[in-house]
Amino acid sequence: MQVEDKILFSEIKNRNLKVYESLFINYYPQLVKFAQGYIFDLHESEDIVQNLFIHFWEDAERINLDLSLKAYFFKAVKNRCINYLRDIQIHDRHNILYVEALLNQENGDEYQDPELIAQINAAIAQLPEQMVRIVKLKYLEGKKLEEIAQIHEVSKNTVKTQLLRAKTKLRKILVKNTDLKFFF
Amino acid sequence: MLNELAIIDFEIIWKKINNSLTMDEEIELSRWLAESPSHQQYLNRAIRHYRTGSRPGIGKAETEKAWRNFKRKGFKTNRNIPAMMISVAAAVAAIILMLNFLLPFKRSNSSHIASHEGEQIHPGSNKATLILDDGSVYDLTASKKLLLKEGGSEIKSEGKKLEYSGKGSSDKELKYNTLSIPRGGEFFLQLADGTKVWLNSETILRYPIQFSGTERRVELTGEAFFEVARNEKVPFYVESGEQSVRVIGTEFNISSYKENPFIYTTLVKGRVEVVANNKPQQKQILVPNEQSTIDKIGGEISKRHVDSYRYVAWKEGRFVFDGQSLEEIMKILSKWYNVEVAFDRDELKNIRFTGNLKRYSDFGELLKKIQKTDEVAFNIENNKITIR
Repeated sequence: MQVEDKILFSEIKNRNLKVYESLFINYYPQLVKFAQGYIFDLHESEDIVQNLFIHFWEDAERINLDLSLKAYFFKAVKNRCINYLRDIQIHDRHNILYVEALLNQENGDEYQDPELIAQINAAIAQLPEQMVRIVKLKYLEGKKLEEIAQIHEVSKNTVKTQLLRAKTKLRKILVKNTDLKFFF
Repeated sequence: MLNELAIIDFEIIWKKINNSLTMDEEIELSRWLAESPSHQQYLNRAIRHYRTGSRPGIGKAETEKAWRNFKRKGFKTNRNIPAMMISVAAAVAAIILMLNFLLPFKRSNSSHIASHEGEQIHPGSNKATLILDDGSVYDLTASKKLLLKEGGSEIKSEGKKLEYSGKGSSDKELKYNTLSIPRGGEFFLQLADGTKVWLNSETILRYPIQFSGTERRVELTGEAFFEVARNEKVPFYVESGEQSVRVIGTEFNISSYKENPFIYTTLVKGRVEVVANNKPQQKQILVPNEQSTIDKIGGEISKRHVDSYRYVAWKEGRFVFDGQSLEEIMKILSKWYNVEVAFDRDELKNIRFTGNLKRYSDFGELLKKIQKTDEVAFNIENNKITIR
């Protein structure tokens, strides 16, 4: 865990509302987007993330933060999404939705799980060459669409279309190959 | 008692989207779908997501707005009071039910509700009665299909949706239909101009089967959500007794139940003008996320800023409560579950609750969640709920 995260978290325990607000503002959009990849509904996803933030404030003393804040938030949202699915009687045994949630997250620098990265890398290797380059720039290096477009000297829309196609292919490959059992 | 639950792997939904289900999986999926309307809704959302790509995310402005709302109602900053729990005054206990997460999958016995063995109270469903201009009556339920012709219009029902189409005759006089939704019912209606109306329980809507060329006017008692087809030349009016709402093209909810002394109009999108029929000088123009309240007796209209989601959530299959009294909450629930409610002591009526509940759950399940707060206990007997 990084020093900054340690400081931030101890500020939360000290009831520092400013720090709480900035964490909310910073993480809320990405976490909602992530949850949408599980739930496919904006309101529900917002509920899930807000409830997590309530818990994070209320039970700060009891939260054992051994991961970075970011990893903690993503893992917690993931668990809450899994609970939501359990209520409507769905299992995500093959982590199809987990992959979807990660792909749905536009930022590229989302919380990354090493085992998943290995799987994604293996799947990426099966894509056509120019797709591989774009996907790597986006998902492994966290580059923005504009930057990728510049590197390849193509329009932003071309990158977007390529990425979309790549995502569809990736999903198929991942779903076929994965019997991933990630942390729980 | 409860049957064994059908749990499916998401892979089946994935295969459904990619048209690669085997016969056995097809059966598994349909068994799961039959368990709850919320399952069908999830499947629909998944299909839409995979077909059209992800929806736009939340921007900076929306995040800041979410923060303000969240701060206002979501949590307390005083560390000495355990928030989400009962506040000092027992009468006004504000309790947030984080319902989706509180209830473990295995139904626990800790919050047992006294009820007769196996007695279940089911949520409402699609049902309505249609009365034509000539007075003939049709029963529209989830299982029936209906195709009628009246005055040149085609009237089509698929059991949960009623649709009007056709040019209509050139008769000067408008022909009216009435759609009546009983307690425990809901229905969807598409008018001849393309306007969509979601009707809640215990609601009556009267409307022409074809509109005249100069105005569109419907009459509402009860609660409905309108998505009015835009046509600036032909204004749309919703009359509900003491008030009329003038619309150009917009989305809004009106709640005008007879037993309620107020009529509430909540705007989601666009712009409407609310006018008191007894005092035409009393009017309010609403912008999104504003709600007007008219006092039926005095005719005064006021407006305030609200989170419109709470007032239209019923249409999305949810009940959203934000610090409402148990009395108000039970009034709403009793319409949908078609039950009677009695309070053992008057002070129970004033306990306030906050939460987001699924509208299609079995009533017992929903009460269990409220009961988990340890504020009240419910007893169910012959469709009558007693609150202790």
